Amino acid sequence: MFGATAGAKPAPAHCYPRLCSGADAHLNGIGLQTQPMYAGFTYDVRVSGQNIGNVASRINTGLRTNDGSISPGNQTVFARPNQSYAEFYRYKPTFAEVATLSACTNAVPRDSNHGNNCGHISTRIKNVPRF
Amino acid sequence: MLTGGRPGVVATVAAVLLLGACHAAVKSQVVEPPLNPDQFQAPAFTTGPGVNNKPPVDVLTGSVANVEAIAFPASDGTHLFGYLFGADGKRSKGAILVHSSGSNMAMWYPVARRLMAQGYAVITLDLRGYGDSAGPRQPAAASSDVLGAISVLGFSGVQRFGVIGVELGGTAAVQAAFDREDHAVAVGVIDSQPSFQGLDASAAARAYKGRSLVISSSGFESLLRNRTDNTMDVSSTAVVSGSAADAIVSFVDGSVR
Repeated sequence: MFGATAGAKPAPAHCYPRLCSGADAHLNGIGLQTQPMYAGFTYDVRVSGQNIGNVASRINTGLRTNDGSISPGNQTVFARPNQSYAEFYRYKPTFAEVATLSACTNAVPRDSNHGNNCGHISTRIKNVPRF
Repeated sequence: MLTGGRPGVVATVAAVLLLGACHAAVKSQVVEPPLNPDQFQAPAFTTGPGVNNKPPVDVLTGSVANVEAIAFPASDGTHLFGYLFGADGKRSKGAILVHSSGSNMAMWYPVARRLMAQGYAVITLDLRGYGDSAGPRQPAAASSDVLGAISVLGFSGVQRFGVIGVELGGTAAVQAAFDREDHAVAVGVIDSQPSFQGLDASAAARAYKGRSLVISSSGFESLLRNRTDNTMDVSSTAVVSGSAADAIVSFVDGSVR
């Protein structure tokens, strides 16, 4: 049900072997409710993450695509240390092609590790079958 | 030349030092202050405008394990905030708890934790204009907010759920439960009336076929069927503590299977 996430990296060398000090938004995954998806229809997309830092923070998350529209473009949650979070978007693909959904999540005003903020998945968009 | 140049050099050095001092002063003004944990200790039932205009309302107490902060759009796109209790994705039954016009979702945390412990996925949400949710307060649109939460619950794998609300939340709960009667098998109203500031759930209450719990809501007693009436006095104490909380947990557990 949930797509794999590429791009998440471990803590940078300057923090190793401990977690970075401060808020640290970590992208866990991008989930699609329905597959296959058809061009011209609206679907829910879930972007999940976790504040793996040691400071409570606001977290800004955005979702982008190369095909179609996403609303809202960005959302904000407030996450305490070690708390997971999820943000829900509506995605309407336009064309039948392989669409890529890219998400980035950032603690604001500071994110102590930018290496684990972003990821993407690709999914095939189909035309509605005609009978 | 040398004697004539010295005052110029001194003036130049002085000007550079002065500029440096000014620059340092300006720079010190734009340095961001560190996050102050105290600002997150807002009291319960704090309300305010949308997320961009105020500090966050964080009144969640206890462990954050299995409690997920969620941001989601209402059915009309308004940005809402809430918590999903029991966020392991393994729960097929759930509940949505809707607050009253004078509070925010924090009023439901104890009940949400009890239901989570009994195997339910539970959403508490701030209606628009309350807590961390965006937009102006708009009671007439409260059922749109609940419908947004229902979409989130569906995404989490929940098949059957109940919607419980206090006052404004109760009216919105009845309307939203009727709109999604295919999955909303139970509705509970506490201290509510069928109509509240532009939101009228009278027709929905008459037509709703699921089970219902009616606590101190005389207006709903003649409308909802399959109901359990309860006239306990919830006006003098916290409406969802004590015997009212027991009744709600028992009702959800008996209705959403």
